[in-house]
Amino acid sequence: MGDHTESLQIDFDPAQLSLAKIMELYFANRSSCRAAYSRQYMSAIFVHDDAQKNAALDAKKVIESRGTKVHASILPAAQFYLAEDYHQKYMLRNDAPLMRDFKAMYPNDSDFVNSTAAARVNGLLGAGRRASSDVELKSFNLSAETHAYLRTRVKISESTSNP
Amino acid sequence: MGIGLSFFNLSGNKLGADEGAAQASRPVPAIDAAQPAKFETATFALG
Repeated sequence: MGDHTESLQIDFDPAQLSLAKIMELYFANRSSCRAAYSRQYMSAIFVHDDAQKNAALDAKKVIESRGTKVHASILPAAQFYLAEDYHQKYMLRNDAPLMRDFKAMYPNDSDFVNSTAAARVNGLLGAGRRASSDVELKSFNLSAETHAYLRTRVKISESTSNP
Repeated sequence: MGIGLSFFNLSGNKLGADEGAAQASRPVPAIDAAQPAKFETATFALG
């Protein structure tokens, strides 16, 4: 891996989700409070401008004011490269029933990688996040059969979530 | 809004790419069909 660091690049609409909230979620991950044992797996925030740098420093100060040492580095953003295909949407990619539908929607892998729907389904499968509702699951435009299958794979937050 | 695992390279070697051309046999979800006006970008490594 050399000098690469595995990372996520997030494109977000600040009207919907603030950078401060993203920072809060980032620092809520306990791994940023452990020392890195390699550049490949280090905790880091790669800032694209001074506003992001200041937001990162402010968020780090809040965590450290609670007595927790933060090991995340704050570094200037340089070139960002997509990882190999098999890293992308890993949990979804390894789920054959769901991939049948996603392959039908996105025969080109680059479109699949860029799909917000694919990212969300991957998150539901891998991160233990609950779907907000069955409406959210239906928004992925899956076949009735695959939608029913997805219902068996994820949890839904709302109490009235019958299909 | 898209999130995917990628590699951040501080000096610069291309690690992977994919392209192709094929026709979709199923409509894409509305969330992907709608193109956002303008997003901001942030990059993190969770370690």
